[in-house]
Amino acid sequence: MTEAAPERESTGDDALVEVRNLRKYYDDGGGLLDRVLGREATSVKAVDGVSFDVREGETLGLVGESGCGKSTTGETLLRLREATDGTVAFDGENVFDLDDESMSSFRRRAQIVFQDPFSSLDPRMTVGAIVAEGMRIHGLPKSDPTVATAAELTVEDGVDRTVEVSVADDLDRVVEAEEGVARVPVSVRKREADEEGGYEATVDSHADLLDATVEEREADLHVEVTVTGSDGAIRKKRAGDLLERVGLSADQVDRYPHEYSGGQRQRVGIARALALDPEFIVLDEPVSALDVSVQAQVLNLLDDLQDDFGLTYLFIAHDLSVVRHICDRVAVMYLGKVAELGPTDQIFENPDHPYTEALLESVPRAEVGEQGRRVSTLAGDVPSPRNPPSGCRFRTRCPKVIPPEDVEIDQDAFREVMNLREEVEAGNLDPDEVRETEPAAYRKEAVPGIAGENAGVVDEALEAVADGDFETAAETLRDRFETVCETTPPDDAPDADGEVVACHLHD
Amino acid sequence: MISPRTLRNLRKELRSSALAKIGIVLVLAMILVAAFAPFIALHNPTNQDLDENTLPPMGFSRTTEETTSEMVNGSLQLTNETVYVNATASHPLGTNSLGQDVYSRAVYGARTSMMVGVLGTVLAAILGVSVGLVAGFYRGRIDDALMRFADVSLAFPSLVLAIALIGLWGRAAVDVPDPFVVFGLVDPVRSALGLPTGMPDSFVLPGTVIVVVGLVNWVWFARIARGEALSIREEEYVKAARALGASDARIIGRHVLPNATTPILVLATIQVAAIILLESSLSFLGFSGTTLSWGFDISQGRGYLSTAWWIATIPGIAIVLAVIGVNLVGDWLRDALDPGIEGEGGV
Amino acid sequence: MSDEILKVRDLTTRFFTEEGQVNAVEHVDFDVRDGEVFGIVGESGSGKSVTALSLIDLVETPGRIVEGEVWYRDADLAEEHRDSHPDAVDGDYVDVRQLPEATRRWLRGPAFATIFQDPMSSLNPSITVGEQIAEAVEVQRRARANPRRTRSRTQGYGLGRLLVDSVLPSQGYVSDESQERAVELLERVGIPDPEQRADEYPHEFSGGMLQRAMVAQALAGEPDVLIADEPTTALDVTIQAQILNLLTELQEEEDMSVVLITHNLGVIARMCQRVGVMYAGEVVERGSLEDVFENPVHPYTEGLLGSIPDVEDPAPRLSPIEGNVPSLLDAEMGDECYFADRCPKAMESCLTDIEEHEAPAATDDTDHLVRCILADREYDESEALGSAAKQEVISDD
Repeated sequence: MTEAAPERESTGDDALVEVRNLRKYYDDGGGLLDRVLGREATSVKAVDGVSFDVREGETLGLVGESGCGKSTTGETLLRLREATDGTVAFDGENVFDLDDESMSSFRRRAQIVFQDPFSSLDPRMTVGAIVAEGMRIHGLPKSDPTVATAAELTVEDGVDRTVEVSVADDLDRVVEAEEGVARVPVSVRKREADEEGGYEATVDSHADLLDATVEEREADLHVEVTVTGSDGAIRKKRAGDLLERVGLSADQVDRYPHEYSGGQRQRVGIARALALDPEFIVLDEPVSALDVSVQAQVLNLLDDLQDDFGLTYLFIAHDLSVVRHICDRVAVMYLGKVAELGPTDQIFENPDHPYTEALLESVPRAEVGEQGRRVSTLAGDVPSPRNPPSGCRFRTRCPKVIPPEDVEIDQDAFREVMNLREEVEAGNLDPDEVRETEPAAYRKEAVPGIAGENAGVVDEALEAVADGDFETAAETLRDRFETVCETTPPDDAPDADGEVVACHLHD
Repeated sequence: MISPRTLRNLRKELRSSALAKIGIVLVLAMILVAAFAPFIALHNPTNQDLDENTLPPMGFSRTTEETTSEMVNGSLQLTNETVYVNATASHPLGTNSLGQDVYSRAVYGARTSMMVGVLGTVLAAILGVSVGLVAGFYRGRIDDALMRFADVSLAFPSLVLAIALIGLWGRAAVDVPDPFVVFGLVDPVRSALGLPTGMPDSFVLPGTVIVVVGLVNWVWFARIARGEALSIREEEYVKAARALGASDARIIGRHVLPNATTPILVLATIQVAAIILLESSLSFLGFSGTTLSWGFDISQGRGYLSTAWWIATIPGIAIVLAVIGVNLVGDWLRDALDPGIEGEGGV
Repeated sequence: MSDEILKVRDLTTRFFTEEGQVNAVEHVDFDVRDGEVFGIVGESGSGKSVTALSLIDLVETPGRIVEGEVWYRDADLAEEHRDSHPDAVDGDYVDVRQLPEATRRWLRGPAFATIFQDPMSSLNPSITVGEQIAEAVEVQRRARANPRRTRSRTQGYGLGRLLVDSVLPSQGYVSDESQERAVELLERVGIPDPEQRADEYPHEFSGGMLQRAMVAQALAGEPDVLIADEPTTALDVTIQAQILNLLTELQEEEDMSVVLITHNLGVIARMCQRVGVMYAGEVVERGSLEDVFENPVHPYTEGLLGSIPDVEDPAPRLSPIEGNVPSLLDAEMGDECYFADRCPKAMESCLTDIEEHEAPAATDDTDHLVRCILADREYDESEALGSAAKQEVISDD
């Protein structure tokens, strides 16, 4: 399977979100001046063809270093940014061509929690209003005509008459329906003797939003339950309940975000995401800005909420320990593409992609055995996403680049040759310097690890450089040392198990 | 809308700044004078009394050459005589060449300045903020078009633009009844205090001027609002609102506008001062729809500067005090509401 | 000669803000030995960065070092000040805090150098990287050429010089040797093509490269103690690994001591021999890495270690510390152990006993000191602090 899988082919059996060839390019440099000067607009390829599934009920981790496009992926698949290309199917429907109505329902079903607990809450709104905003936008609470309503009646001692109850049809605005029926506990008792006598009824939950009245009809008692709370009051109550659910206190609905610490604000952000009862939540670095002790609280909370509400998470993070802890499967991103995707344990214990390996190697462990551990680090920086390397994006830093079959060369030397080629192709070498030091001597300095035929080719190229002929030099080197890693992009379409190892070593 | 923390900052800044106190006193004084002009003025500002023209203010006197003619021995003899004209208690700041009370005119002039200043700013703010928020929020072509238009408007000197517009539309004015006079509250109070009655029962609102100063000054609001919208639209809470399915109108109204209010409010105060000055310039040049204006009085007194300085100087001082006062209040608001001060000081 | 290069005693720094007095650093004691990496770990607001600033006397108003001693070992300096400042000298040590201001300033560079978390804002965006490092080198070179003449740094750079330099930048103040040394330093910290990169501006550098440049600048004065305040926090893991390797290498080769301040326990474990854990302005536990990481006594240290997920072991559930980092406002702090309201093992006596206690140590040469009574006794549930009072604090802040 070298070609990309046909679009819209479902790989997971129970995928809730299917992302196929998602691309997001940012154009800049397309200013007036550039157009006048005829400069070509270069676009930043933040996300450049990403495919994966998020399965129902799982937590898929999306890890990578800054600038790898993981957050852009999260926001684009929720259509918070317009995608350049590709499709995202949510529950089978392409998110990018939903009509207004389906879009509104998608907004209810898919939510997001952001990284920055300070910029993600509007400072001018109370936390109650922040949590209730989604309900207000979607005109909630709304009564569902298919939901039946019922009362669980408790008749206390002293009531010797038959009691009949009628419940308002819109009870489900206040009480959540279970299996199509919204139920509310009601009790009927005889009034204290010193009062006027007769009977009274009370609603035993949501008392401030519901009311029960008793009417004596001949021999029977008729209890009527009505919804008295306004939409605003119902929303406020629900916002309070949600705040309580995420570990804050419900009576703080009227406070402002600045009165909270970072961890508490992040809880408010989670409550806001939960308010519309979503199925899928994109968690965009939800704990990165938090202190470790608070981070652990929030991670535990996210765990509990997933169990309670049957949520599906896309967990975007750069902290590998957090990902290991919370995710079922992990996708590792590098420079706008998925490098490796698989079950968490497999990724962390037997990484197949050299980048995943290097990433794991780099993480410092908080244990005594870590002391003095020397890490073989990746050289250099991530290349610019404006002009990503051809073929495999990781090849410029990869410690395992594949040499051409007929060339015998060890890995370190090959790395040096690759670096030299890069310099030659970019025209970065100084011809005078090469000429003065003599090509052979220069070669010994720059690429000490090679000999024989390989050395001859490098010398030949350096001689061309000394003459200022970079093109010939580059060609000479390319003829000899061109690797599959630079000519062919590795296959990064998910396989039958939804796994990816985008590396030629793996094939 | 105003959080307790903002109030705290406002109070704190007010306590520590003497200038802010001066500004508030000046502005409050001006508002009170403008509102209760019929009670505070000593005379009807439009009443002419040629017998009492050009009286000097209290403590000053004016000399005038008076020629008397006399029949002496059958021939007419002219004598030139220097006569001293003294101030009278009923015109403490003197009168102008038509015998109108300078003090009362300054009091009523405050009304015109305040009304034009505030209404003009409100109009400019509504126009400018709407345009700016839309431009900054949507960016792209809409932004380019709106902001290029704004730049072009800025390229005209505001006074010239205002005069051109007034030339085009004429000097329409609206007579607004003075509620105090209409409900008969003024005369009893004034007679009780022993002041002359018969104050003007309506007040002339220079409608065109208000519209024109609004149109001339909207650009400043548009620029500020656009800048705020550009940065606020990138905040995560805006993204969160979008993820909840909020419409653009809702995001602009509920998230962008409230978070942009501080700089808009500060600008609005400063704009009130700028518009007061612009109105004075227009009425000085005779382009206003009302004659009860500080600028008009200055232009009336200009010809008498060497003989009767007070006619132009008194309204001039009024303009200076009003503009300084409003600007000091603007500085106070800016310092108190500055997010740099508002944010937590990190330790 | 003792092997401690730096002895910090009773260091207390407070901020006098409008909201009240903030006790950022309270009675902090620790030693830094020759050629070791000493780690200070803590969460935000624990006072670890203020401690760093206090060491090099860079606390800004409204903050002030209220008391404390910072003993730095320098025999020459001690000799010189023995007569003029007898209180400030003890054997080979001088108390930096009691030295004259000019001498203290002179010490920044050859004695202490600092690297901060955000390299982008630590470098001037309008001057080339090489120039900035060369300037640091030049300052040190002049100071060294004219030791103890504490005005030497400013002497060469008067108003006239400033004018000349504004008109003819890069002429004058910085000598050619310093320029060359700057390039050497850039090479030393692993920047490829140092000669070319020296002429580039900070914005042309990546985050990792900038942090390397910062290290180069810090090395300009060949410092005895390098204070690294969250040096890798803004960096990605692979870049973090590069910088940590670089620091280890330099520290071994130059025989520097390093004070490494971070919130990342993994970084501490990789780099440090000895550690201090800070909470609410105090060092609550200190000792060797083994003592603190394997036999933590203070419940806060335990909680911190229990809070971090392990990259090698997916434990089903984390055991976080309840509640939030406490307020450091003097008025709200009270006198008891500051951790008591979040502590799962708080007892009645925690409210009174807040001294440092000695706990069993893994090695002989390093004491294991803990600001908690559990160092002396076992937890006794019957004395547990009422949980109602604790709960209130947690839900209320």
